[in-house]
Amino acid sequence: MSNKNKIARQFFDPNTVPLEGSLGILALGDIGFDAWRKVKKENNIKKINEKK
Amino acid sequence: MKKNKLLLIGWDAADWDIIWPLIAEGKMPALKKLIENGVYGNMSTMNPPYSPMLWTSVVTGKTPDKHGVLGFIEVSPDATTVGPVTTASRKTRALWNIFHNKGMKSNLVGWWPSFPAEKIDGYVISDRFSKTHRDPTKATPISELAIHPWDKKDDFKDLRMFPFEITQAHLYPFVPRAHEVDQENHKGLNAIAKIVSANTSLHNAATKLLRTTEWDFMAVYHDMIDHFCHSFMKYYPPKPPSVNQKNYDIFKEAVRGSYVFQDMMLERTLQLIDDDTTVIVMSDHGFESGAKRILDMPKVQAAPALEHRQFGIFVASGPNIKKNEKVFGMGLIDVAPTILHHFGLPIGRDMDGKVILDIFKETTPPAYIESWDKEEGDFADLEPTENEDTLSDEETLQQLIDLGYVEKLDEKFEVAIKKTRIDLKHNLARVYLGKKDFDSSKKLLLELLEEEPPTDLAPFLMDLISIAVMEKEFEKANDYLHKVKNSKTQVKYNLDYTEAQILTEMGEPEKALVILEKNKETNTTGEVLFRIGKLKYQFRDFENARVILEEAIEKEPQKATYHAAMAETLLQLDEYEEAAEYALTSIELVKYYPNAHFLLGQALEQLGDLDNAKIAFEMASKLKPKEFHPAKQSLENITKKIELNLSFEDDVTNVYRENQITLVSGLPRSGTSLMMQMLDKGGISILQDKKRVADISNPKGYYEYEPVMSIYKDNSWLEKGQNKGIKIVAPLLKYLDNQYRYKIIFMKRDLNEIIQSQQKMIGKNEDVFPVKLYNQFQKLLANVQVWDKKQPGVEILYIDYKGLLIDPEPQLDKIEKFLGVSLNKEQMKSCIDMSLYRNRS
Repeated sequence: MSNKNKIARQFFDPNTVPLEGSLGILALGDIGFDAWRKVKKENNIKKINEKK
Repeated sequence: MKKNKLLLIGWDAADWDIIWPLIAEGKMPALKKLIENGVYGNMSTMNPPYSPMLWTSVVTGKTPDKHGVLGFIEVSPDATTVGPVTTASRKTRALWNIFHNKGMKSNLVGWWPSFPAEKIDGYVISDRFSKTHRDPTKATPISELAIHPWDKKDDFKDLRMFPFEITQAHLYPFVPRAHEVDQENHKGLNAIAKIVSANTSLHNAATKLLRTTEWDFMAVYHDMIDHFCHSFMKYYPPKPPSVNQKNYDIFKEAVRGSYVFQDMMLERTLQLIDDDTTVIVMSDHGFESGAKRILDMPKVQAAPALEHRQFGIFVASGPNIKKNEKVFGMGLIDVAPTILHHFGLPIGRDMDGKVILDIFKETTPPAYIESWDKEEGDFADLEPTENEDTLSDEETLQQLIDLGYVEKLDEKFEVAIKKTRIDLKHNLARVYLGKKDFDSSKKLLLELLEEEPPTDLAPFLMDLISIAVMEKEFEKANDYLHKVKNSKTQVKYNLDYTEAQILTEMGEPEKALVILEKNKETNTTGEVLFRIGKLKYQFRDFENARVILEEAIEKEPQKATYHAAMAETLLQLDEYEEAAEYALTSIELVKYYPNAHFLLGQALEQLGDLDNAKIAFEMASKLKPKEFHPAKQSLENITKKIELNLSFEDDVTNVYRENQITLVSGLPRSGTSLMMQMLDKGGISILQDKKRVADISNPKGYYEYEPVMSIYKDNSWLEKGQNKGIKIVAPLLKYLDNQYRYKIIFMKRDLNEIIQSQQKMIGKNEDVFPVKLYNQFQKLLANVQVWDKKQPGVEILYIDYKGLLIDPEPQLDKIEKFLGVSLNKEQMKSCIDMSLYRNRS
């Protein structure tokens, strides 16, 4: 992996992706989008569990 | 990572007019970095400016008549339906086909059109990939033809973003007051959701491919900027008067937002490539953002394309690309040849574009083959398919309808098919027109005129008018114009402008000016102002020409022709510094503009900068060698000046010019026949036919050549006049062919004497002084001086008639020196007969 990709990942922490998402996340491309979808999925699961 | 990789990124409709201010504000850092480390310039579009045609030209290097993609929609192979244009319409090989044959890997993302996906060595995420059903409850399966290789679809299917996933966080950067939008009545937010989600899908696929695959060539296409502009350009500052204030306040940042987001995506893309990769970012056309924005879209097919502007953008950066330089003269058809050359591959001679060598640091001469289409081997050419993909077709088609590119299809397919065929035929006619293949264009347009109502024939007639004017068939042009006026077309053509164009070309500029000045009251476009300015120039009203052209330039500052016209006007006003500046601006806008270089040369010559003037004339001459005689002649003149060490004010008139044509001119009855007689006796061979015999007005003969009288229709006989003397009256000088060199001996005689002599000759009352005629003659003489200033191939020596009769020696010496040949001056002197000096003032 090139240095550039390492640098990109250092600035992107998937754990800080907000539920609402952001243009910045979308601009990151597939890794940002994947991370955001995960957050949304986890949030849905959480809501379902809470209802239960 | 492999070396010499090339990434081609298409930003549909990206325009420098919007980009430069954003770069200045620090809002497009990724593109700015590419520009600083590479080259940039204008990208010239083609006519008609329809994106699928243009993007196919980009990757084939061919004009649409050759590549076959002729519009947004196509008729299905079995002619039973119509749908969005597909790869099947393309009938020539694209870059990735060539690379496939050469064992290179290519990735395509979203290219228009790239569905159905060709089975190349690499990945194809076609333009249908990002199309999703508008109804969130409905599934949007991906067609098997939308992705290649299909067995990798799982890597990409979850990268599609749906419009319903867009949140406020995504909307607010584009529309900070999104919460105020009345969503019942304004669908702007829905439009943004669709555009952003679709482009995000493509960006996701692109970044995945960049991160996880090996590739040599990659092409990524985004339509985000184009779609934002079509929806929101009316709200781009400054607010047009007719636009609703509230909506303007809400949506005014949308267009800029699309550029900023596109740049953010670019920044991420650049993080995923190495320093050995060459990147090209380009657009297929610009987008009107000023006074020429269309606020009321006409109801014609592909009307939104009327908002497209002539110049898009081109940026390139890479290890063998020059740094921080502007490049000129790029066209869409040049991209494919340039990319082939980058990879060391030959160019097909059947490609219409050329390699832009200017962008490379080091380069070799391009290699050529006859045609890539004729090469044998595996090119992953598209196989015919019977698979239907109605859903993907439906959504894509609906998008084109929503954008206004395509009218809602007629429910009866046979009607829809007919309309589509007509549109495609018209598009092809326009391509031929753009290539100046008038015969092919006319054939199609005349066939289209046979179509029955409700087909609107006006668009075909307007194109026929353009051709008729260029072919100087003015009666036909007027006939077509009359038909347009009587048609029930919905399109608001500026027919006054068209009529004025025809009249100007027909040689009736006064009538043209009247029409345009009236039209100006309701229509102050740059074009109308420019035409008026040119006509004012023609009438020698240079001050007013300057004022009007200033207004035209204010309306459309990017028009090279307007700046050139201003330079030409300022030369007449002796404002050489300003003229040079305008000529330079014109060249900056369109480098390969011969006339602009010529005007610059003239201005520099007058400013005494002979060396740079010479360079400018050389450039003008080089750019248009076959026709640009004034530039060649100017170059000869200035070279002579430099050789003879003359100052810029000196004339180089006393030099014999090879094959020069000696003309004797002036107003009738100014002594022209006497001068012709003198030249004859002096040893100059005379071109005459003696059809007009000597009479009491001219007892020694007229020395005329009859074809001179119809020089305005045919001046081809001038070739016979080389190294000879010809008589030609002053009003006819403007019809001279500027490929020849002329030495004009212009007879000047007191105007009162001339008029008296004329009145007597034609039997009019000599006591009645024709004031109007006197004024016209004064104007004519002034016009000759203006005309002379523009003609580097013309040298004029003014000879006073009275002076010649009374004291001939000095005049004869001047004539001999001027002509640069030896004359028998004693014989010339013997022609003088004072008894024939009648009508003295």
